[in-house]
Amino acid sequence: MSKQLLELGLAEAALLFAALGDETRLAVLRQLSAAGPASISVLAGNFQVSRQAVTKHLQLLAVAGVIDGTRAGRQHVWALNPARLAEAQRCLDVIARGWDDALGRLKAHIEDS
Amino acid sequence: MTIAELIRIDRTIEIKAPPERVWRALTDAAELSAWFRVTIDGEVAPGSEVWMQHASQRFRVQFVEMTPPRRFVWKWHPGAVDPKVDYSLEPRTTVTFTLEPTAGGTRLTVAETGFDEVSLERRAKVYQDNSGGWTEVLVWLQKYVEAAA
Repeated sequence: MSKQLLELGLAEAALLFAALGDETRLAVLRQLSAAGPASISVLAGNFQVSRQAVTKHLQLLAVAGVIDGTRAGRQHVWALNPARLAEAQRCLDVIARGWDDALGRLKAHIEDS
Repeated sequence: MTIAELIRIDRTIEIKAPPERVWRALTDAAELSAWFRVTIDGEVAPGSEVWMQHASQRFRVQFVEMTPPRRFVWKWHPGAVDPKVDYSLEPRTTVTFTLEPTAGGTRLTVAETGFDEVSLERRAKVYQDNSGGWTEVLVWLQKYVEAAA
């Protein structure tokens, strides 16, 4: 189970998971997921935090690759990057398959003994 | 897929044996070694920290809670398998086994949580010099992502 994880780069995925490890950032992702791309002003208004704080969170999410920013006139518009989230999901799927295998062996170990 | 599903794993299996039997398979070192395919260096007991080894892969496991025959909890570093890498600063996940008696035996649930628990802020504290700020952290993160890509 574990060797595959290394090949898929769990260390990199850990960065993604860490980026998700904050309530505001999770809320930002949920909003971008549900309502589509948004500007900093819209996001700052929704979450009642300073524009500066939102900018910091957005930068972290962007570095982790879960959102992309594009310039629209004078401001940035941020959008979810589903491909990057899918990578994190695949990583968890590998771990979950490891558990499926292990639990299958546990069941056989108990029921066949 | 929802965002929330990105930070935990849940699995359930029905086993045709009473919870006491399943509990023994989970917590008896010899039995755990057999089906989990590891050697265990240390004692399986609450608070105990052990090394598990599978082929050339070695990982640290801390047993957090043992409430027979209901709940068994450990913490570990998922994917911490490269012997040359120090994983002690990496995030740990929590693995919780829950046993429920059923008419046919036991429903065993395993949940692995905490993939998101170590915040970037804490990582930043671990990795950066005291003089640094967010800019430095962002640069480090960027290098880290690009190197791993």
